[in-house]
Parts: sequence; structure tokens; C-alpha cells
Amino acid sequence: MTAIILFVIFLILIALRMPVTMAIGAAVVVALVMSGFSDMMWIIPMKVLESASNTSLLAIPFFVLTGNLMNAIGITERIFNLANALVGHFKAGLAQVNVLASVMLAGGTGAAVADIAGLGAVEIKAMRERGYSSAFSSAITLVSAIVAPFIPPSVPLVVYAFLSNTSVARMFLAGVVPGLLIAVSLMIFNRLLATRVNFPQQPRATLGTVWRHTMIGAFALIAPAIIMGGILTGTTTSSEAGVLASSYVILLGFFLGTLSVRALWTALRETVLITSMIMIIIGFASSIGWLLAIEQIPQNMARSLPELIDSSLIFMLSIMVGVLLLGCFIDGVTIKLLLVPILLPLVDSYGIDRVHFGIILQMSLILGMATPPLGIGLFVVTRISGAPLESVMRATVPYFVPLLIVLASLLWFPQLSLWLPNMIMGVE
Amino acid sequence: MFWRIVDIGLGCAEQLFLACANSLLLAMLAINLVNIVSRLIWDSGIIWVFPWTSVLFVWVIFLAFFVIFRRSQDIVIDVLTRKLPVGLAHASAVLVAVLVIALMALVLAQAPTLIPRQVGRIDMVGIQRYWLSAPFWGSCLLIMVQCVLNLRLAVIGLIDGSDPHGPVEAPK
Repeated sequence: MTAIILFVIFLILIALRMPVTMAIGAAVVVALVMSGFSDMMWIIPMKVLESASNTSLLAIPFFVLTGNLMNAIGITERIFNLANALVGHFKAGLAQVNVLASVMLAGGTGAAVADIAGLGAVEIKAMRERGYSSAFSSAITLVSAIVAPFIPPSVPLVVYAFLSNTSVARMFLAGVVPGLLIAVSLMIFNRLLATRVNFPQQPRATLGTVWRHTMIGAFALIAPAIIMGGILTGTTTSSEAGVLASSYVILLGFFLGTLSVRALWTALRETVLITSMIMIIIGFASSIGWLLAIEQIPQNMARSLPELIDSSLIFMLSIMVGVLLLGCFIDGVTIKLLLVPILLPLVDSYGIDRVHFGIILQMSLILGMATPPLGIGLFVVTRISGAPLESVMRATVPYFVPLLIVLASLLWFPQLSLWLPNMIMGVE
Repeated sequence: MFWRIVDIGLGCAEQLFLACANSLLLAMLAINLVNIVSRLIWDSGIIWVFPWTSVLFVWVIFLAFFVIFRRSQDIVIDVLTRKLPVGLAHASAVLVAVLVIALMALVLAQAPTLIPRQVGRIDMVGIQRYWLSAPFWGSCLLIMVQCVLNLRLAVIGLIDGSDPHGPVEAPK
């Protein structure tokens, strides 16, 4: 009952345009009162303070900063040029470039919205200039950004690792194959689309051009290599790997002559605001975890649900559908913070690997970014392109076919997520 | 005139908090880089870097908390309120402002309970533990004041029926 009250109040408050952080806080206050804990309101600020002091999330600001710095020093344009030189001559060339550039930039931003904001302007402008419609350019920019939270470093996967008590390195490795699968499925779909639609074609780039762009663009790809290299070899902690990557991008900007004090300050500002928002949401949501634990809600569910649903696959399928629907209305971090504490005991009781569950959850959540009415990615991309929301939505819908196929494959074949971490780090 | 001064004051606090948060993040980056370099070159890490990084991280989060609210950069969902009639949209803005003021007041009211529990010096940092939460209480107080401003604008909007989406937008 407490969980239902909490969710209903939260939904009412956000519908009234209350900021998400405050809505979580207010819903917790009501839930505490209704559960007879009105004399324990100090739990709310205490949990915010405890969460902020949690060093497991210390890597977040540095990963976010790396991405913001890459945008600030103009790496995005160089990555686009490199992708264009490599696959620009394919059928539906610039749509393929869009996907490949997102894979390359994902290693720096680690967040889908950052990918849209960073690459979106460059990609949409180039696609329009070569005759692609605004709606199609926006749609492919939006769906290709879905790759970002899977290719390391990924801020959403760091948050999940913290919530589920799993290794950040293992989560990062688990995201690689799904991320590449998403990219490949989108590229195949683009190719199929090109048999029906007459997309503009570009000439093949000369070897000299490819070499020149590779030399310039490859520097950008070193940042994610630093992060993964540092973490996997144990040379650095994940936060130190983020520090090294940020410092590398600053140095790169200095050598390229594209880093101004103003750009650095803007990147720092964007980083502190994003990090603080994530951490404050985590802080307020931690009280929910405390309340649910006191009421033994996850444990009770873990006892009773397996009696109703005996197949782990059906359990995962129901969670996936539920999260896909919730993702249309609430943002991903919030859903994760609300659901993971409830679902983890269930995940364990069904014998599902927490890493695999994290990837399925992330994939289900990220699709919400591209769906109305509250898909944040949808709003960002339409703001950048100026295309009408409805036309972008219409152009986005077909791309859900390959994305849902990937989601179903990940659900059906856990090895797609678990193979790489198990191979490199051993089976847990 | 009074409200104008309050707004200017909040604007100055926003700039100050943001500048401090940015500087602290830069400091986190710098001391960690020095630590990594020191470990690589001299095979000896600087032991105070990690505890200081943790402290600075907490301060960055709490300083930016007010800035996010003041700049309306928190996640808000306005699909429903945009479709409401002017009067109801203002009424919803009034309700949200009142609820946020109440929430912040409730949080601030817990300070006397929590601060005495946060005693003891932080290892290798040397400051008392309650200093960690100082920017949090400051941000909560400023958010409450900001909400009083928002509430005033929402009530004015409710009375004269003007721009329904203006009142909850904090001045940039």
C-alpha cells in the first residue's frame, strides 16, 4: 500500500509541474506520514546527505565533464567528419554516418541527451544541406543517440551499478555488445529503408581523405580508451579514469587551439548542474528505498510474486513492458531509483544475473527517451532541428522495429550482455 | 521594490554558488590529476586527495542544488498544465510553490536534529562533519525564498489572469 501511495502522489505532483526532485521529496513525506513514521522526517535530509557522501558515484562528474569538454572543443565535428569519410558513401550515407558518429561519441558523452545536444546540430545541418528531410534527420539523430548509455563510460550504468551493488567495470563491459548491436540494427534498417526511399548519395572518400580524418578524429577516441584501460587494468579507480580522460580532452583542446576559458567554464557549469541534479534525485529517492525496506515491500514481493509467475522470462518480459510504458511518462534515472530497490530481491529470487537485468532495464528505459509525451530526447532534437514534433515522432516510429528486436534478443539471449564481462573479468 | 531586491539578492547568490561549484570541480580535477601523476612518477600517492575529493564533491552537489532550481533546470513535466485553462494553470503553480516551500521548511526544520549528529573531524580533511551539509541547508533556504517569489508571481497571475506559464519560471 505504501508503495502505491508513493507512486500515485509522485505522479500527481509531477503532472502538476512540480520539479521531479521536489515531487519525490513530497511523496516521501506523505508516505512517511501514512506509514506512521511522521516523527522520522529527519530521514529525508539524512538520506540526501548520505547519498551525496557516497564515493561510489564520484566518477559521474568526471565522465560528464569529459563529454561536455569534447563538445566544447569541437570534437563532435571531427568525429562526424571521420564517420562521413568511412561510411558516407553507403546507401542512406548520412543516416549511416549519424549512427557511426554516435557510437564514436558515446565513448565520450555516455549519455543520450548529451549525444543529441553535441552531435545533433552538426548532423542535422549536414543532412538537411544534402537533401534529407528535417523530420528524418531528427529521427535518426534521436534513435542513434540510444547507443550512448551502452558504450562505456556510461553515467546511467554507473548509477545502476551503485543501486544494484554490481561492479562498474562489469556493467561497462556488459553494455558494449548491446550498444554495438543497436548500432548495427539501425544501420541495417537504414539500408533497408534506402531500397524504398531515394536518399541522396555521396561519392566515396579518397584514401587520403579517410587517412586525414582518421588522424584528426582518432584523437577523440582515445578518451574512452583511457577510461576503460584505467579501470580494467586496475591502474586507476573509475573516478580517476574520468579525471585522466577529462585532463586528456583539456590537453587536446589546448593543442588544437579550440579550448577557451569561456568554453572550459561552460563545460564545468553544465557538469555541476547535471551531476547535482542526478545526485539530488538519488538523495531524495534513497528515502524511498529506506521506507520500502522498513516496510519489507521488496522482500514480500520476492516471496509472493514467484508463486504467481514461475517463469523468469515472463517476469522479465512484464518488467520490460512496464518500464517501457513508465518510460513514456517519467525520466529514466527516476524510474531506476524508484524500481531497482523493489525489483532486485525479485531479480535474485528468479536467479537472473543483476548485470543482465541492468542492461535490459537500461534498454527499456532509454526507449522512453524517444517516445511521447515526455521523451526528453524528442524535445531536445526538435528544439535543435526546428522540425514539428509530430513529424519527428512519425519518422521515429519505424525505428522502433529494429530497437525492439534488439531488446527482445537481449532478453532471450543473456549471453549478449554477459559474454564480454565474463570473458574479461571471469564468471561471478 | 522589496521583491526586486530579494530577486537581485537571489541572482547574486546563484552566481556565487555556481562560481564556487565550478571552482570546486576544477579543484577536484586538479588534485586528482596531481595524485595520479605522483603515483605514476614517484610511486607514492597523496593520501589526503581522496577524502578532500569526497568533501568537495558533496559541496559541489549542494551548491548547485539551488542553482538548478533558480534556473528552472530541474526536470519538469508540463504536458498537462499547458493544456489547463489559465486559472487552473496558475492555481497549480500556486499549489506547487506552496508544496515546495512546505517541503523545504520541513527539511530545514530537521537541521537541529541532524547537525548535532554530524560531529567528529573528517579524517585528513580536519573540518567538522557538519560542514559537509552547510551548503545543503543554505540551498534549501534559498530555494524556499525563491519559491516565495514564485508564489507571489503565481498569485498575481491568478488574480489578473496573465501568461499561465510565466509564474513558475524563475528569472534567469
